[in-house]
Amino acid sequence: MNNSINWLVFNYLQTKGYKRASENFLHESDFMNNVPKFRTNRDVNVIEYLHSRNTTSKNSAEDYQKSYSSAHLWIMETLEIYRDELFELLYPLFVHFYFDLKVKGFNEEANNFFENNKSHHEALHFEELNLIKKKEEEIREKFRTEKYTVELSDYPFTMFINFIQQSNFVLILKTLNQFINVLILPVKERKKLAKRREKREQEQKKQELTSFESDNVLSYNQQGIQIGIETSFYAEEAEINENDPENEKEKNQFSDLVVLDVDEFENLRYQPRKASIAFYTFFHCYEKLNTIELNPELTYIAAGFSDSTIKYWKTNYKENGSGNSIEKPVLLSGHSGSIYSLKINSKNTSMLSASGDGTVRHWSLDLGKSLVCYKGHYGAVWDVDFFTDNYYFATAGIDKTARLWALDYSHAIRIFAGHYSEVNCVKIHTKNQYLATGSSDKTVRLWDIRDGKAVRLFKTQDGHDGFITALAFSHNGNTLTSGANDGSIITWDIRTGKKRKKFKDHSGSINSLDYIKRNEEVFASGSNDNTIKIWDYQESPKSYQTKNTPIYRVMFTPENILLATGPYKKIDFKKQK
Amino acid sequence: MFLSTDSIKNIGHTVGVYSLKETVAAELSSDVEYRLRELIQDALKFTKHSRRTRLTQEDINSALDLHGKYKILGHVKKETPKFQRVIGDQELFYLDEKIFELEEVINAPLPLYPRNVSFSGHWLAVDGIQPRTLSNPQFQKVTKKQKKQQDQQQLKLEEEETQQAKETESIQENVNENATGNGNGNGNRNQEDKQQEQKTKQSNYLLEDLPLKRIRRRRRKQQESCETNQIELEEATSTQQFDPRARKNTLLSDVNLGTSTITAKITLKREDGINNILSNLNIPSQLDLKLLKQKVQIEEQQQPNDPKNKGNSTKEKNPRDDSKLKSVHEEEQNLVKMEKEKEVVIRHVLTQELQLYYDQVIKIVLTTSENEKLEKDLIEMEKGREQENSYFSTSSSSFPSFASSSTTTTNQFGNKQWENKLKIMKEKKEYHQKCLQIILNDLSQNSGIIQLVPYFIQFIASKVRIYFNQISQLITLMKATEALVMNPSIKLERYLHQLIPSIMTCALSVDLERDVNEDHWEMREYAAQIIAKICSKYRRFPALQPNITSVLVAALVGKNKRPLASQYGAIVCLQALGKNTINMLLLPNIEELLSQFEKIINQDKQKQQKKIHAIRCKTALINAIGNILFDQTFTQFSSESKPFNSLHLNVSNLYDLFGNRISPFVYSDKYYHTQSLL
Repeated sequence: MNNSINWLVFNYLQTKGYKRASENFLHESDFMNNVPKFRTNRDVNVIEYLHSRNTTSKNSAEDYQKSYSSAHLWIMETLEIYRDELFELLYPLFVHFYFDLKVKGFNEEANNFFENNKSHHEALHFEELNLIKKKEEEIREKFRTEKYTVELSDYPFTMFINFIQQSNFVLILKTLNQFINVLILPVKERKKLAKRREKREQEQKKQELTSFESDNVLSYNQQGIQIGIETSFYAEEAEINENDPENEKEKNQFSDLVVLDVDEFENLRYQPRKASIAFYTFFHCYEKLNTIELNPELTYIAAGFSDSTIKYWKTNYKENGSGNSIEKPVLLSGHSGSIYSLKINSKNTSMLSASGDGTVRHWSLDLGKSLVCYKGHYGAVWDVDFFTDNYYFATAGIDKTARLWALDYSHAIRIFAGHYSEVNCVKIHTKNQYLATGSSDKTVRLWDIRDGKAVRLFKTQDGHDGFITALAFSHNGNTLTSGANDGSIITWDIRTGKKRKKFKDHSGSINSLDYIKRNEEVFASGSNDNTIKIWDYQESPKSYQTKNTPIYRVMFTPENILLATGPYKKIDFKKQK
Repeated sequence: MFLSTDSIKNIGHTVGVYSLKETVAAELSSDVEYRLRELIQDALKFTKHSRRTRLTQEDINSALDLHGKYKILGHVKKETPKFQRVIGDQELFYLDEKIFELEEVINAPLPLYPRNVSFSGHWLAVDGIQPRTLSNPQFQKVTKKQKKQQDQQQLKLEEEETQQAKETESIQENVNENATGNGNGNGNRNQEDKQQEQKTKQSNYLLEDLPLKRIRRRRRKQQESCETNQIELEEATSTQQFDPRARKNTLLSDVNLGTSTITAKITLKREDGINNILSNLNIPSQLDLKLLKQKVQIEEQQQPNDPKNKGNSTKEKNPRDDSKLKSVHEEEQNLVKMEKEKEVVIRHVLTQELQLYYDQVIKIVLTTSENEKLEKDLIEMEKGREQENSYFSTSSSSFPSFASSSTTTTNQFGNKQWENKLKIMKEKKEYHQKCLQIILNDLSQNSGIIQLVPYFIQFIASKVRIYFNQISQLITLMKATEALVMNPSIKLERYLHQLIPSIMTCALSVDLERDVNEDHWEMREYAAQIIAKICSKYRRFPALQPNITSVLVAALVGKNKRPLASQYGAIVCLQALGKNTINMLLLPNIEELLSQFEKIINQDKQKQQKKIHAIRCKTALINAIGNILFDQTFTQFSSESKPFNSLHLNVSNLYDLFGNRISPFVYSDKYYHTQSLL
């Protein structure tokens, strides 16, 4: 055994022309003495030899399935930051395994393997997967001849190699060496590369003029969605017959109304360049203040702090025009972890707070006291959102779940699980039937409230490069906007689940998004880079900069005046120098 | 690798493990690295949701808590801890931690109480423009080099300007010749053109004669003043009326508009090309000349056929035409023309809502005069009709069969018509009263109309001059001014010089008394009250009240003494301004005034009207004196100290002058005693 390997290595060195190495090798191993039969005539391909060795060692179809699923499992359990990088590595493995199985004649097993694990890669490589089934040979040739390049950071790759070596997955190692080109790059260079790629893509799009989008839709996003007609989700007869003549009447009425509206406001279209922004700056609390909540009537301003207290101010507006007075703040204490989100209900009577101690509390604004404490989340709760009926509310937490609660139940009514990472934000659809969640796994999901199932998965190849941090629905409920850690904003069409447009101009993470009333195409975003931007599909964005105040929240009043808040950050002159 | 095997070994030393194999250390370091990464990853989640950019110790602690590990307890320092190199070893570092003694920590003075969290609001943007206030980011300052470049550009422009201005003058003359050739219908236009011509000539004169340096200096000054004005105006919009909810209320009930935008926009435009300036001045450039000629011709053709145009040209005083904002804009444009040598043109663009608001207010304020006119017309019509009837009735005797039938029918018909008209009038009046009330209320409360204030002031000033004779109209105008003065969010400092003269004319003018039926006394009293309100509101200008009172006293006594009616106004004003002014200014002159009035009253030859005026004045004087007299006597009884040490007359002297008429104002012993007994 040993000798034959030695012999192979020597042969390999000689064919490649490494003379010194081969001499040294001969000298050190001195296998010449031990090998009586020295075959010089036969030219042996090392790789072929190794191949034959592997194939002989009983690589059954089960092995493929095993190694693939264990790799998948491992990736799902590693550090969240590197998860999607490693997932990109998993895709070529999956494809090659499938081809291997086919080549080896395990047709049924191959098909089973494909169908079982297809769902892992559908979101990013949906069209390619379709093509693999249709034009198998073409794609096999492509995959086998050209190396599939994957970009990886330094650390996750070493982790992966360690994992393979420890659990001895020869199959994975083999395909990795043979067919996959792994580019190991430090984080900074990856970002540079990503920028370059974006530029290139934009140029390509310009050249093509019309970007190609196929009619194929993810299996997830093929599910029907009702948006147009308002239905309460707790009504049993939620489904409406479209053939019903009465419904058509209603529809017609509705459409008439819409037309009237458009006519009326066409001349007075909201212009982002003429926006009026009322800004509330908080002082002496940067790095202590976590969240600020306003109500559009501006009667309350609430702030949640990292010392687990909440303060809210009541502003009295005097009708006789002598300005508004602000009362002393009311201090709410009860939580034992820092406050991450606040939400005032639409009647301005009560408030919900999400805290790092894993609880949500319901406060009465009139009494200034805690009413109920809701426990259920494991770990911190990041976000709360009220339904418009002020009875149900939804939370998102670090435990990768979003939950639906009712005010008079101490436990969650629904648990929405499916995200691969923590759920950062939750937003309730304007018609109360669905809720959207944004997660650190860079995806946005839409859930049906009635059965708790995911209805849509919003993810594309050139999607967000960071964690989702903010969500907003347009007022008619047709589009969903998501903002991410890296400053990118994407609008999604809810019906088809496809990307409508990507906006990238912010340099800090997006903290808040809000749509204006009556218009689907204009929305505002507040970011950590001290700017508010008002986006319009038809124009370039208009940005308004604050002095040195990151924007925590933006909100349009019914009159379309933009309210925005944030804590003032002291300018550190030492650092600037 | 995060940690080298050496550091793992070092850490092992601290725990007491002295012999670690290299492989074990490597294994451990990779594991430690993984744990550290996991911890940092989770800690970053907390920083992210606290919306910070800095990872703190607390985040690490909460990440440890999340994994069910013990938190790291200890004294949390504000400064970031420093790693220091061990002397003699290049790879070994340690945390520079001081050891505190517990007593020191306990006995240390308490740290300063942290500052209270507070917030304040401001306008980050108004209609897309960021006001230049302290709360908004500052704009870039102009460097010296840039300034030099700008100056050079200006010089060039000036030269071009002078040349082109000459050319335009000649063109202008051509146009004028064309215009003058055609009839009277164009009279107004011609006048305007002539004015323009004169102005352009003046400005050209200035430009040619003054040395360029001086012009430049002046320009710079003007620019600066404009800029400061702009900044002030923007501050006004941003600071005074920061109340987003107020914006809701500013929308008139009639004008329900879905969008926002109430305050006006101010843009500062530096005209860089001569053509722009010309277009602002309504002077055509050479290219536009042909078009303009055609236009003029078309207008000439149209004018005789168009009755509306004729009406405009003949009736200058038509209030509704004047009220339109266009006229205000024209005035502004005229102003701009006056300052032709300025390069800076301030364009004050009002939003649609504000324009609507302005139109509404002016329409309603001015309808009082219209109503009056209609009423008068109705009365006159009735009179005329009665005369006609009488004529017909006298003549009917000669033509009985024909005329009688006709007169009766007309009479009946006319009566009905007249009654109907009266009804409509009444309804109109009531409606108008309601509208006026709403408008005045809004003017006194609305904070969104700051942009309109200059227009309103100008409107009031011009209308007081026009509606000199119509007291009721003047009263409504005064009501409007009062509302503006009472509005807490409007500051009128810059407009007082425009506003006070018009109020003073209302209080003091002679010609108000033309129509006997109208109660101009009431109007004077009303104006006096407004002046008092202004004086109290703008108390911080020390020169304001003395200026006003000096005018009043001059009207009351001395060489330039004015007629009785305006004297009455002056007395009322002084009374309204308070006890101190009465004491200081009215008391010294009281004998002179009283003798004057009594002279007129006692003279038999005087006209009845004048006598009535004198009696009025006397009663006003007594009222004014009585006011301070009561106070004085009251304090004399209640305490020993005197309120007015410098009271110019004794009570006994006043008794001598006025007799018993002031007795009701004197705080009597009896009254005092009864009070004390009770």
